[in-house]
Amino acid sequence: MRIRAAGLAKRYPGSERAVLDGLDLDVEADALAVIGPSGGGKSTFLRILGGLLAPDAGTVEMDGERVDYDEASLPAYRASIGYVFQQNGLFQHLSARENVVMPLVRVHGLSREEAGRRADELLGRFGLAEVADQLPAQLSGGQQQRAAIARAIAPRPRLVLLDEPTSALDPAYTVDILDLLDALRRDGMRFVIVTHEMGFARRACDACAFLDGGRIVECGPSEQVFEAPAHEQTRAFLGRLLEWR
Amino acid sequence: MARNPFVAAAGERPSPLKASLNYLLVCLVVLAGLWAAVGSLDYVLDFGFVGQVSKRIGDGFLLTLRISVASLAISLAIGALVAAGKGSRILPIRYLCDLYVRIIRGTPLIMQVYLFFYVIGTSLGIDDRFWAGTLILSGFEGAYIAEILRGGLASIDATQRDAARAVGLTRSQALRHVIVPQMVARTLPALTGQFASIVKDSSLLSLISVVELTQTMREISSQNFRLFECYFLLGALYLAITLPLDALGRHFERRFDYAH
Ligand SMILES: Nc1ncnc2c1ncn2[C@@H]1O[C@H](COP(=O)(O)OP(=O)(O)O)[C@@H](O)[C@H]1O
Ligand SMILES: [Mg+2]
Repeated sequence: MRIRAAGLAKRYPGSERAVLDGLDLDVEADALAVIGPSGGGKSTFLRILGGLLAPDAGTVEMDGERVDYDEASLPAYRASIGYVFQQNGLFQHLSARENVVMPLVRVHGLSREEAGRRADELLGRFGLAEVADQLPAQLSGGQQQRAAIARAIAPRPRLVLLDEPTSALDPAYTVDILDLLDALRRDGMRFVIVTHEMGFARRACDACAFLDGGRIVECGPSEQVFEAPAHEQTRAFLGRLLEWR
Repeated sequence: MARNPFVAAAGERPSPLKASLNYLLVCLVVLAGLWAAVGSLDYVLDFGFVGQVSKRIGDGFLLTLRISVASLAISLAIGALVAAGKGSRILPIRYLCDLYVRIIRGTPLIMQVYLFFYVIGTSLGIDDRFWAGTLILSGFEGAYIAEILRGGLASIDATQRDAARAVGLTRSQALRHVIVPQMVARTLPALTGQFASIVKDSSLLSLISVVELTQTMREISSQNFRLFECYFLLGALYLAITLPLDALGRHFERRFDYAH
């Protein structure tokens, strides 16, 4: 999968500072990690990639196809991409199972039976069969994120975007989710993940982009970015992280 | 240990038996108190007249229900429009809705009933009392319902909208399959309570001689001078509507408790 972003700029209304400031990226990877300090613009960048937010300037290309940020064509684009939020991304009024089924039926035109089969298969595989009929509020944080991942991949999207999917979780649940993502990657799921889990970024992702101050400071094979960062900024960021390791 | 049958710890739910016995006890004491109060006036309660006027009372009761249901429907429509208008990007619309809510909520219903019926109703030539009264009541309740709906909308987490868009739902699909169901869940308990208010507030339409339940009782009591009996009965009939609504509201609250 090739992701190209050129000159992306974004300033939130009523804010002085540009969150993204001429962001450029050109990367060929099946699993891309986006790392960087908080407030650097990672979520904003991911929202633009997912079609949830239109940039003020710049372009995005997915596999050579330019994303059209016109409200009429965005729903179809979003439907072709899975999105996992940091937390509370499940529809609060629907059971875990219905969270998976509803978009399949309403957006992807599957019959309820077919959608139900797919939901049951995924939820079963993710160890959620027992709690499939419970509402999100009744599930643990780890179960919620697994259900959210099930919902994201159920329509077999070309790409899944994950915005710090483990940041709100306890360490044990975090490992659970990372293991699951790694297994899915080996099954062929392609994803972009914003994460602070450096071990995962390094070993489970083939490329890593360091985003700071509204720009991609550097992007390359994960091993290279972690072993021999080309920029002083990246070195400083990674060095700080290793302080307590 | 013998537990005190009249005491429950703070936050403790007493057993159903204990609860009903204590509740019954309170009701009996209140009734006895009322009875004693009436008795001290040297007044003998006599509900014998009810048989002769039961048809009138029934008609008044039904009219109260009809006004209330019609007002609920109209005020829901007004409330939805005003709630939407308050979020409008067009400032005159936004402020018009804001002004409406402030004026309606800031003045007593009795003033609105008189003002809108005699001044505006007369100048517009509206003389159907049922519809004039229903519309005035709807205008009043609509302002409160608008606030309930706005609160419900504001309480929906932004991530829910993001998630709806992220899975590919269009704006109208998101509204239909995510926003409205969550709004219903969050506002239904409060709306049920508001419906009980509508039922009670409709009694003020007696001021413009809409012969609903309260006006019926006023007329009957002015003919037979059985003031106590008439107003006891009136209270009981309103409770016959509002208590079940109260129970329904609690039911909704439990049913839709998933939000938090
Ligand atoms: N909806 C918004 N409105 C205004 N400012 C925002 C909004 N979302 C994010 N920001 C600001 O933009 C900056 C970057 O945010 P974000 O993209 O979430 O960074 P990151 O995910 O790297 O922490 C932050 O300073 C944040 O306060
Ligand atoms: Mg973020």
